[in-house]
Amino acid sequence: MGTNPPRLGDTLADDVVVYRAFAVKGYRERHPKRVRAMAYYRPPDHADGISLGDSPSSAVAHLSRNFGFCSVTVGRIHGLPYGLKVCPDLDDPGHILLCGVPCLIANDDERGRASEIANALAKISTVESLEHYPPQETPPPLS
Amino acid sequence: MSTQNICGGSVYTATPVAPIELFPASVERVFNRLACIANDDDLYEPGEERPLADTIAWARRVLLKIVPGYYLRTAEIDVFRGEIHVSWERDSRRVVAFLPSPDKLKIYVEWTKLTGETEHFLRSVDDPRAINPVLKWLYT
Repeated sequence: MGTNPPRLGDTLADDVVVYRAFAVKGYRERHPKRVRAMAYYRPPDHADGISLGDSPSSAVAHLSRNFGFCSVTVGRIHGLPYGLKVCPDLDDPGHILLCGVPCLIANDDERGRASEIANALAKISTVESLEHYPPQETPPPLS
Repeated sequence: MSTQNICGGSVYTATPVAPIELFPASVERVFNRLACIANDDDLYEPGEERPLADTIAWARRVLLKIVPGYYLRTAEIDVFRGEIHVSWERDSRRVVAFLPSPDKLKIYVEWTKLTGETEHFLRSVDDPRAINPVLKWLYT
């Protein structure tokens, strides 16, 4: 997400599992446990795509805090009828970009497509954790 | 009479506590969430723009136009880059009221057909009451 566009590798194979961090609470729902469309809204300042990781640790690497993460297989993303591509960021090991998602805050046409695509991505994603990753130990009181 | 308000401060009122239930608790929940939405840090990434007070007031006016009020029971309130989003989902149907700024309302409607194909439309509207027939369709 710098000023220079990242160098992208080849599209990942369909059997690869990728991870999306929940940067805010609204990305996921606890009851019932599910990923919400918001998790895949692309803001204007993420021009290169939506950030994913090749592991839970990579997914949360650039966040100061998180509310868990979800997983999805690349094949399911590529299987959606929206022409999305999942590519590794060659400048940042472990970082993966989901490319082709329209920006939500744009004209009405783009906002509509962004909403539909985000909801489709949320439906094929599986919640792996609803808590901060990696788990944090709570020290005993009076220690 | 003093009581705690929804954001933790004290509120003084001349009326007894809960003399009449104006809204069922499930509906009141939506307005309570809206009232506190700019202060809930868990809803924002660091440095993320928060909704303006005028946008929150506009969202409240939109929600008050929803008839019947029980449509609000299942409404979810979210924020995204200064916008307020109110969403509903039922079976294969989804409705989102996007409130990007004061006096702006965009109604998004999505449905999945029996063939599995998903369709949507998005309309900018001036009158908040335009959402009522859409919610009626959602609950049909």
